[in-house]
Amino acid sequence: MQPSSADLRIVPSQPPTTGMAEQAHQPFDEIFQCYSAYVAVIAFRILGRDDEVDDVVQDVFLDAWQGIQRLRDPSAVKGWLATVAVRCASRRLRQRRLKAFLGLREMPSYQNLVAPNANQEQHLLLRKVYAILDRLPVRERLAWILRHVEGEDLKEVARLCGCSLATAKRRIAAAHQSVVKGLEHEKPGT
Amino acid sequence: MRNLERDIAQARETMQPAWSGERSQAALLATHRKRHRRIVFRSVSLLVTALAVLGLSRWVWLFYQPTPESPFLAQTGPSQIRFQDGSSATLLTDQSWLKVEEDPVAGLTRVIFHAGRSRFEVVPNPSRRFRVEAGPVTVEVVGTVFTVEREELNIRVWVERGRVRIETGGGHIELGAGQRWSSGENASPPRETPPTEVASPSESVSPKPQPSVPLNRRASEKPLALISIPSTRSWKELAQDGLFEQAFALVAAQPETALPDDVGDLLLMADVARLASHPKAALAPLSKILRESNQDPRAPLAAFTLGRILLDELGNPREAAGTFRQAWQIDPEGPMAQDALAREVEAWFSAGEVSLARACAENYLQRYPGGRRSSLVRHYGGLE
Repeated sequence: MQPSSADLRIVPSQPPTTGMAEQAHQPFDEIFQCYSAYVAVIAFRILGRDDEVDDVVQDVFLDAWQGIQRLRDPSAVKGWLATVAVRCASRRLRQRRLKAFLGLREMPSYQNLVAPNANQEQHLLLRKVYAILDRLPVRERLAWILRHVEGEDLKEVARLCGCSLATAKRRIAAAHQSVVKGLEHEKPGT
Repeated sequence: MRNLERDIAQARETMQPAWSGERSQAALLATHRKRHRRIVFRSVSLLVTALAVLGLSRWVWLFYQPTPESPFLAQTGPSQIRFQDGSSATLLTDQSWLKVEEDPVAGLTRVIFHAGRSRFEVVPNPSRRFRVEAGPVTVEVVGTVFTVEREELNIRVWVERGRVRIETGGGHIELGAGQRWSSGENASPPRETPPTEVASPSESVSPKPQPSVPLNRRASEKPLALISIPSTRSWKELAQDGLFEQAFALVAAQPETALPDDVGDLLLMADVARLASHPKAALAPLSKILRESNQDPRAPLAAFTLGRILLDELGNPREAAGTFRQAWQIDPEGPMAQDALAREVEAWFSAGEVSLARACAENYLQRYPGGRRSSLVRHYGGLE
């Protein structure tokens, strides 16, 4: 049975100890402790590297510092953080590409994309997919990862990417076409 | 495609960062440190930006300001200022000070007279306005000799030659030679009055610093409008007011037996004669000082002045040499001795007495090695 998208959604590693209505008014440290893992996962899956996750998590909560305090709907903390995480990860991706273009840094090889005891075929697949995604525009990469790796629905993808639904669909489709084509070239005998 | 999506969905669960509690805590601390650094950086950036904007604004403001004229400030007297066209302003008292701004393009010479007393000799020039601003009073001239005195808001103007126009907030008035105007705190605006005299042009004279008139005497005078100089005034009063020609006229009317006995009065009389362009008339009072008061501390000054008149103005170098010698012999260690000896050298040279000039020059160089007149003395003494 194909798992539903809801089952595959990432949940915070530390469930909130208080009601969502109070979370926006909690001290910052508590919010950090509650949602840092969630943000870390999003960052990891977008970037494909663990060594950049810490910086992105810090940047997310720095950027969200004042925004969290001004949230009218305390239950929107998680969604707010997800939006900021996508933005920060996107920024990091662009920096990575600029450095690679200038020869200051090599593109990652995604050796540690999955846990060591994971299925190696899946690991290999993901490495190939991320290598293909490295060649795509950042916006297309983000949309595809949010849709197919994070398992978000199209409306949520559009919200997180800050674009319209139609644009989100278009980016996902374009990225997916590139990924499929890229993987076909990788198959032996083709 | 379905396999790809399925495979990725299955692999998703294994795509997790190693995010432990310790790592979370470390990230939290690092976040706080970053936040602090960001606050500091933004504060500094804001400050630098504000300073840059201020600096730029000031630069723009200064750039679009008209180029200020360079004021020339003359302070304390006695001193003299020479203007580009040959006009002059002589500060007559130690308390005198004024500021001059010349604008050749606009054809305006502007003197801001702050305090004291100053005598102005203005060369006639129709293309240039000469203006003296003394507080609320403005004196504008075309070509004349006049004196302005200012003590706070008390301003007085004396005209020796030519005409001046005086303007205040209440009106204007013209003064001619021999006329005077004075203002006070409660003075009514000057009335327009036709001049009583028209001065004739005279030669320019070298101004000499004059002693200050006692302040209490001026302060007791009532505010006046235009007045003419009364004939009952003494020559000394006229001289102290800078009216040298009129003072000399009174002196000239006195017989020689009426020469004063006071050394100060004799010196003043000599100055009146010189400044009124009658140098020969200065010989008598100066000679009387040397004849009857050669022990007076001012005797060397009288002798030196006499020598200058004889040499520079009357063309009598031989007699001038003797007078210069008398000046340094009276007080060989005095402040005038070095100059007197140097001028004696010059006078002997002018008289054709080369050997006497040489002997004097050697005497000077022996007494004042490295003296301030050494080059002049060597030249006239033939020791170059």
